[in-house]
Order: sequence, then structure tokens, then C-alpha cells
Amino acid sequence: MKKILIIVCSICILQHVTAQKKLIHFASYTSAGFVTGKSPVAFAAQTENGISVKNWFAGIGIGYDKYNYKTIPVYAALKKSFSFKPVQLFLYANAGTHYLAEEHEWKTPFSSTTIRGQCYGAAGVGCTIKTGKHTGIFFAVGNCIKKIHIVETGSIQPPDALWMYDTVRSYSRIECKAGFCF
Amino acid sequence: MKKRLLQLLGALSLTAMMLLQQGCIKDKCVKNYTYTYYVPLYKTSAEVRANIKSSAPKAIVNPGKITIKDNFIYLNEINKGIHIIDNTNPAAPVNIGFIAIPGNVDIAIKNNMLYADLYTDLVTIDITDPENAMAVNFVSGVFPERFYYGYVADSTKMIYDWTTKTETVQCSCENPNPVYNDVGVLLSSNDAGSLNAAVATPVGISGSLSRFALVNNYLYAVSAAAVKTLNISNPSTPVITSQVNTNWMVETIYPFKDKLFVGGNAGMFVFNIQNPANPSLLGSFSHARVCDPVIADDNYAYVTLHSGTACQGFTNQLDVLDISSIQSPQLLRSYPFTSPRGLSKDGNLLFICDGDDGLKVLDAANPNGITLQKQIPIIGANEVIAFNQIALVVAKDGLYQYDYSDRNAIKLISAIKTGNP
Repeated sequence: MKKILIIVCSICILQHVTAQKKLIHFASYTSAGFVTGKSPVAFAAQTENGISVKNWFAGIGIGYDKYNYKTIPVYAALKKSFSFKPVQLFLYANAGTHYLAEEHEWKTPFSSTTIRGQCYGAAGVGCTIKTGKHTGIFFAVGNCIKKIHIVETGSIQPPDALWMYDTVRSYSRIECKAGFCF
Repeated sequence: MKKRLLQLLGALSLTAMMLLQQGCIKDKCVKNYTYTYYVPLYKTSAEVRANIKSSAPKAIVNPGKITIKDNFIYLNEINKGIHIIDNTNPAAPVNIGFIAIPGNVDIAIKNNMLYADLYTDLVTIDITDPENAMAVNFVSGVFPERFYYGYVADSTKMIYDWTTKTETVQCSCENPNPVYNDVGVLLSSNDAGSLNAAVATPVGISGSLSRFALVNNYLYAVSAAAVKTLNISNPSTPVITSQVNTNWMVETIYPFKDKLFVGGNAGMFVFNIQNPANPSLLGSFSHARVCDPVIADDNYAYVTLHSGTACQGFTNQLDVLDISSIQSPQLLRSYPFTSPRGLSKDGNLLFICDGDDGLKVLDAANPNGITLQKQIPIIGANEVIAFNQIALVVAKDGLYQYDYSDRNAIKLISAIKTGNP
């Protein structure tokens, strides 16, 4: 939390310091859409906030992903834009982790189960239709991966013969999203 | 500019096409199954039998059932043998010896003879001098159904200990089909045998989890789905006289007057032993599929039902049964518990081991309105014998003794913790 505050403060300071030149400015991308893969289509939403320097954007993103497991991705976001007025095309890449937004630890008399989010990543392309100097609406499509780590442990009576299932589920999906930026 | 745009659009189209490739859309799963399994260490039967005698005391590690006789406590070390504890001074019990009996989980004592299971066999041990106890007789095949972790002791060798190994294998996410090396239901019995008698008897007093019961010249032993009768008129040489097969799994046996109360995983069963050599089924009370030690007095039977791996079911309660009509016991009332196991009753005080909830002391003056008198925190309380104003409690971490001569001030008088001799 402390690190996040420092980063946000740094962004604000940078934005203030460079306000005159407008080379660096705060930028935000917020989107909603769906992810689809081998499992049923699911809703996903994200917001990315950071700084924009010329055609580059770097920031921190947080979202919500309902694909198989309800998770909250937290990641670093990077974008490179190519301007073709009034449209801007961009490539994006996200990398980070994600946290379960549903029950992820439970016990029975015979076993216990823990589910944790592992890595989260996405990459794709998009296009922004500018509605102002720094505002616009955008559409994007890409490949999104999330990994889930499930550990089930228990004992066979007795004398406490232990067993453990260690499962890593990896979901590679297509994400389609639309949103606005400023 | 136009050329650059076309190049870019081409690159984006290519990227989009790659994304839609089958390889980019997949749900992958890697599942590993890690398990511990037991590898038996063998000795020849002759070696094992020759070694069944008192030896130096050993630390209590995995305490099981318990039997008291005179000033001695005989505490089962699950599948390893019997600790002999001199309890002349309950405030300072002394672990004085250990009898190594592989595969042992049950004990019964009459006069100076101790009967114990040795895997599939029954061994008789002379305990006239507990510090110099020695085996005097073996009856083979009394418990033929016993099997341990998939290994069956044969006639030439016996498992005297186990060592563990851990392996990891990859398995299917959809059908894990794990390889279990367990089974050891019998290994898992943290059980032990009876309601206390009020006077010293030639017969040792066991807890409610016992699978041995001694009545006069007969030893009754429950074994999987059978009640076996052994004539011990000649104490050193038990002889099987009869066997009653049952349609249910039998877990505990408790003798009261001319009856045997048998706890099975499907209910409580009452056998008539007016003809002691041939017990006959007198009545029964069915309940959910769970483990159920039972004790009884003239009018009521107290059955604790608990769930667990070997017991299945999800019921955890005390059932009080009206047995005034022994042919058809009637449920008087059920009381919820956490994980009730061994129980014992002395007068109006009912002692119930409730797993990690500890020992619960209840006022059972009115069986229809049993009330909690005191709860004593003990981790993994499993078996209790309340006798002569002292409650012996076997728990996961040792053997405890409580003085309940003043029921309003029950106090701990001694404890032998696991790991200590």
C-alpha cells in the first residue's frame, strides 16, 4: 500500500512539474468487456492509471475478471501508440498478478484447500478514437492469461499419512474490451 | 505515411490472427499428487513373539486405548505395544515398562493375564509382575480380516514398524485417481474398553472404545463384522467357542450384567450372554452411519456418534437411549457435540471426550436433561475412564488424570505428555 501511494504521488508530482511542457501527463484507461476461451465467456473490467510520455503510456492497472474464478488482477500496464489522426492505434502489454475475489480457503474434517492467483498477463492491439486532446474512446482485443494455483492437503487416518494435490490451472483467453481514456 | 499505415494495419491484422489461433485459447491444467506412504519393516514371527515381554519404558508417542488394573495403567501405543504405568500415586504416575506388541490396539485383563491383539493373533501375557511380564500363549487367526496399508502379515513374518516415503506423481485434473497406500482402519483406531465398576474387580477396567470385553470366564472380541467368544477358563490358553457374524461393521463392545452392548457403524446392538458361550442378538437401535462407542446402566444407554474418515457420516452427538425394553431401545434425547468419542459414567457424572473441545463433564442425573458441568480444555481428548474419583483421559498429547471427588472443583492431578517417558 505504501509503495502504491509513493507511485501515485510521484505521478502527480511529475504531472505538475511537466504541466507546462505537456510532455508528460497523467492518463487513465478504463474499460469493460469480455474474455472468451475454452471455458464459458465471462465479464471483465479494468482501469489503468499512469503517465503518458509522447506515444508511450506506463501505469498500474487493477480489474475484475470472472473467467472461471472471480479474480482481481493487479498489474503493470504499458502501451505504445501510433497516431493516424483522428484515430490512434496502440499495442499494449500487461503483466502482474491477481487475487481471488471469492472464497479461496476452506476446510473439511479431512482436508483443506487453498486457492491463490499466480501470474496475470495480457497483450494485444487497440484503437482509440480521439474526442479531445487527451480524451477518447477505445476498443482493444488481445490475448490474456491468468494462472490459478490450487493446493489441497489432507491426511489419511492414521497415523497421519499425508496427501497433497498441487494444481496449476492456466487460462489463455481472448479479451475484447471497450472503454474511455483521458 | 500511407505506406506506414498499411504496414501497421498489416502487423495488427497478423497479431489479431495469431491471437485467434487455437494455441492462444486454451485451458491448461497440471496436477501433481504428493503422498506419503508406509513401507513395512519385517521381523520373523518367532522374533516378534520372543520379544513380547516387559522392556525398558518408552516415551508415549501415539496413545490408544487404556485399561486399568489394580495400581497399574496399561496404555496402548497404537500398533506398537503397551506402556505399563505404575499409578500407585495418581499424582505422580511412573512409566515403568513397555511390552512391544506389533499391531496391538486392544487390551483386556483378568487376574494376572493380559489379552492383547497381535495383528491377526491373540496373545496372552502373564502380568503377575508387570515389570517382568511375558507372553505365555498365542492364538492364531482370531482377527483374520486385519490388513495394514495393503500389506498382509503372513505366517512367517510380521510387520514390527513402518517407515515413510513420499512420492509425487502427475495425474489428470479431471480424474485424479490418487494412489492411496493407506487403508489402515485398524491402524487408525485411537480406541480403547467400559463403564467403571464401583469396586475393585479381578477384571481390568477398560474404556468405552474397547473391542474386548471380559465377563466371567469369557472374553468377547469384536472383529470387523463379527462378535467372537473365547473361553478363558484356563486363563493362559483362550479357546474360540463361537462367532456371531453381523451385517454391519462392529467397533466397540461394552459389557453390562448379562448383556453386551455393541457399537456398530449402523447402530447399537444388544446381545444376551445368559448363555455366555453363545451370545445372541437381543435388540438394536439404528442410527446414521457413524462411529459410536456405547456405555450403559440399568435403564439407559449412552451412545456418542462421531464422524471421521473411517466412520463416515456427519453426525456428532450424544444419543441417550431408554433400554428399559431391551428388545427395542428407544431414543430418549440427542445432544449436539463437536466430535464425541470415549465416554464414562460414575454416578450422575457423565464424562465425554469431545475431541479438540476437550473433556466435558456433564450432570446426567436427569437423562432427559443432561447439563454441562465443566469443560476441561485438552487437545484431542479421545478416551476416558472415570473410576474411584479419578478420571483418566487419553488425549492426543498424553495421559491426564483429574480428581473429581469434588465435582465443583475438578482438578488436574498429573499428566504424562507424549514424548516423555
